[in-house]
Amino acid sequence: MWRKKKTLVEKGEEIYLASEWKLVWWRFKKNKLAVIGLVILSVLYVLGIFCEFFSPYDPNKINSRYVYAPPQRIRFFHEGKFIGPFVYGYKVERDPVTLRRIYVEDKTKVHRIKFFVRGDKYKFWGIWDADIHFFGVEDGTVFLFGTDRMGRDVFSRILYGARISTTIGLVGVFLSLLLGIVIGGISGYYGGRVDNFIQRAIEFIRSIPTIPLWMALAAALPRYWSQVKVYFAITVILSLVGWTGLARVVRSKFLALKEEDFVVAARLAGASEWRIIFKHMLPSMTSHLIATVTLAVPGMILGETGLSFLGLGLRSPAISWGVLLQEAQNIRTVALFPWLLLPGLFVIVTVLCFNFVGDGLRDAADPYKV
Amino acid sequence: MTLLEVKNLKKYFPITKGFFRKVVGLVKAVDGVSFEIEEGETLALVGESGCGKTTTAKCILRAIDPTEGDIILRVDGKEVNLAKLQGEELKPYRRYIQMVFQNPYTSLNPRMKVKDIVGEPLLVNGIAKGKELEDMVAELLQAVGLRPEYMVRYPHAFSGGQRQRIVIARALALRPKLVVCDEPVAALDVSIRAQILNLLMDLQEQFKLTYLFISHDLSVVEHISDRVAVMYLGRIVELARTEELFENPKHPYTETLLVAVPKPDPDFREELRAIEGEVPNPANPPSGCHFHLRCPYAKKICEEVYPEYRNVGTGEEPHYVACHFAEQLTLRGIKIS
Amino acid sequence: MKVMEKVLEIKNLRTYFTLMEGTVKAVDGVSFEVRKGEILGLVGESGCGKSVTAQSILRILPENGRIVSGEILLHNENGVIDLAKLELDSEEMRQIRGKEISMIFQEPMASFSPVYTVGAQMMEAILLHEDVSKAEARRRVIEMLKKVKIPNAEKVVDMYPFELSGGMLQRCMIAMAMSLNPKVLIADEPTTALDVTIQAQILYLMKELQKEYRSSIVLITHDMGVIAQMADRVAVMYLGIIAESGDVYEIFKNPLHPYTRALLKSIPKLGVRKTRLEAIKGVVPDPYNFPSGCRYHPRCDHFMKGLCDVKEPVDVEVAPGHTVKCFLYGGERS
Repeated sequence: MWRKKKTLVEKGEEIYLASEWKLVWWRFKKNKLAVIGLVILSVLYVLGIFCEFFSPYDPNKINSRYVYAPPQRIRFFHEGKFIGPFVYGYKVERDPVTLRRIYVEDKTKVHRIKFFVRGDKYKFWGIWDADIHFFGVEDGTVFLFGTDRMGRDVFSRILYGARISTTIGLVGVFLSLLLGIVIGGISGYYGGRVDNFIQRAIEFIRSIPTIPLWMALAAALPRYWSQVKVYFAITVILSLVGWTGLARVVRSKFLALKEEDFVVAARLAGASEWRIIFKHMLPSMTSHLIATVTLAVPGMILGETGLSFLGLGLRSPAISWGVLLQEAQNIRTVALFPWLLLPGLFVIVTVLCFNFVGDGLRDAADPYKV
Repeated sequence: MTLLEVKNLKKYFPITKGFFRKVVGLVKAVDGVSFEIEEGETLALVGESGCGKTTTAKCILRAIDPTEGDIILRVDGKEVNLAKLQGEELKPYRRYIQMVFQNPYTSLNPRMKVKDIVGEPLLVNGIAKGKELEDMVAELLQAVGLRPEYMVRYPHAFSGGQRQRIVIARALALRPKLVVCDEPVAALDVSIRAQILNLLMDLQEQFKLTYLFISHDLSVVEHISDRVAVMYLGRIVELARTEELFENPKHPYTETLLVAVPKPDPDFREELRAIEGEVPNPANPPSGCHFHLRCPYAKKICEEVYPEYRNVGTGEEPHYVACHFAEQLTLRGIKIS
Repeated sequence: MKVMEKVLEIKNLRTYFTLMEGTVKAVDGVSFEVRKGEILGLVGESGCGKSVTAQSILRILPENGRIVSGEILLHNENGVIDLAKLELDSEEMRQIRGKEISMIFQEPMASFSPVYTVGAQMMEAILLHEDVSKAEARRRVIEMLKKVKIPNAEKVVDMYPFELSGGMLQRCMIAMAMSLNPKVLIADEPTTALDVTIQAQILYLMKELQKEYRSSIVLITHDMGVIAQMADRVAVMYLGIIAESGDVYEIFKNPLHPYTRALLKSIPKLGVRKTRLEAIKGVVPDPYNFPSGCRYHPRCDHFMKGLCDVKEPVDVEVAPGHTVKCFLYGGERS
């Protein structure tokens, strides 16, 4: 090994000088599952954020020639020879009994996968015109996850869906957090009557069944609203319920920290309330809040998916995993075109990863507890 | 000169019940406590858990609002009643009274470096900042026996005893007159306690400090304090000079405490004899003298009347006690060599 | 001096913990014996391994701890059993826990389950180990509660732990531990959480019961006062080893190990006024980074360079039953 191993003294000194976040990271790293979850999530978010670039096709481009085409496998060896990644083209046949179109691999048509190819035009983040795609084929087609009933590329649609589905959770949680910190903070810091009132209000909100509430609110959204408006409306609806849990966490932390010796010490030293809150109390709960928030994101993602699936959330032509699943909502799909259910797999993986990361963070959140 | 005068201090905590938080009772945590602290001396408050010693200290520090009574602080030729001040009005006086906490693991913010912890009082009071602040922190660390270069470290780098030194450095930053030490060595390892007690005694001399020393440990109290006040269920039952109180206790509770301390000497084994009863619930104290249920000398009157708190000593050797039979009883003390 | 019957013998016990920072040798070669009807005091500061020793004996170590080597020999009617060799959850081990060796802890509140009455939990212990009827078990629980001087034992038996004070709960804990008349009672800081008058009561009670039952007690504490009042023999522990052991009068009147001496000098004593205490210098070292040679050498006033920091001292028997691990008393040429 070229790198000198750290001596024990150096290691000790490093620990003594380590800030909270370093200590949290050291502990988080020990949890393999959480690290894997974090890696997968990072990949998903990068794909989602740059979906125009990573998807080979325009998600709304209709290919009437390739309706319900199955996924094309990426291959490397053609006739026993390595030629780099490529896919075989389709040969369309008719099933003699059902007269249904079936797609067979045509071993004579080799479509090589190229990187940074020109393809469908798009507006990157709705601002810049571009036509460069991460990968694609120059002739023929590359449908990694097959196509849907209008011959649209499912892979591209999942990436576009990832943008909405994964960010809706974050934005929703961010709104919840804002509400939670402010309301929970007031409740915990002032206590007494204010606290009593806020707590009863939270209990009332939490006693309303979530799904019917979401449904009622979502159904009230005007049909003519633009996609962007609906998107934000949905996040607001989701966070209207989500904030209560966070507010409770913030409140209990505030109550506990108020009595903490180091907070009393700061008060005795003459520190202002403002400084006590922002320098002592909030930093003491950030790592816990991040863990709680991470565990709250999957709920939001599932909420959006659920609403869209029921047709009450985002609607076509908007693309989210929920919308995609809603389109696949019949028994024929499950039996004949199972690749249309792939968005569901993405939902599961995302939710699982968030839970792994959240668990890891929660365990690492308080590095000062022995 | 008297630095602090506490007069008839009371702190009642309401016991609430139900949705509307109706007050159904009162815990009289501190119930009419009076004492004075002279400049430069160490007064100890001694008692078992629930006796109100920590609540008394918190009232003096104005970490909580007293229910009744006066806390008169005399500094720089001025006289101010802390019990009558609220919020912002207290701020200019906070710097005169600082605190050393019991648990050095909870009293330092783990997310701040030592220099920010010790420097915070100086910073928020606008005394120093930047390079000047760092120099002052270095000086304070040196005063408590820590190396100044440790100031860039976080609290988790330090052992319990070292943390307690940091806590003391922070308490000294504003050059207070009175330092309230709430069981400062109870959470420390036995071999470290002596270091911290010695440090407190050295600093008292160096910085001309006055201590209000709260402890349940009589042997520690005997070492560090000039006068001792013994508390039981929210009231002072006996107050005298340390030698006087230990050699010549006048209250049966003080005698009980002295007997109960396990002495680190196997020759004193027979002392460990049965002591009656437990500390009663402060929400529902016994009638008459609070101690009568456990007192081996209790008579009829003790069940009915709370004894007057009075001086049974002389002019130059005052000895305050609240016991009906203080003049008659001869109680066993401890010979001080 | 008459030789008393051995009940429990610990030979060269080593218990290690695996932590993020490294291996902690919490107990690193500890040997002692407990004789019938005596109180053995294990005294030391936090991190010296006294509690881990107790946990090792009962095999109730936390998950990251393991007994690396050594023997824990229990002498009973059927001969000698090495507890270190038994499976953690074997029937045999379970029979020994509670019946042969029982334990009382520092926090009585944490030792009782909050959802069952004190009586139910005490009865369970009896029913688990003995074939008696419920009524009989209840009768015995009440009798035990009376023995530990709990007023209204008939009422307390049906109370929940939160209805009792810390002192009362510690009495219940002792009653539960003694109800099966164990050979050895391990008391881990039994009075540390209690007020001084209650501590005196509990210590007095333990002594009375010990005389009556002729059981042996291993009393673990950091309080030299408690040791002086209670123990017949004392073992002083420092960083996983026994620095000095011997009769209680020997240890307090003629301490030999520099650590024992310094510790006794550093504690404030009643009857001595406002003098500077003789403090032990330095700090207790990190548990995963012990000093080389004699573990006490960085804090020792008699440190001999080239010897104490290089070689580990061995036990030297300076008087019958009084051993000390220090080069001041020989042993360097071994």
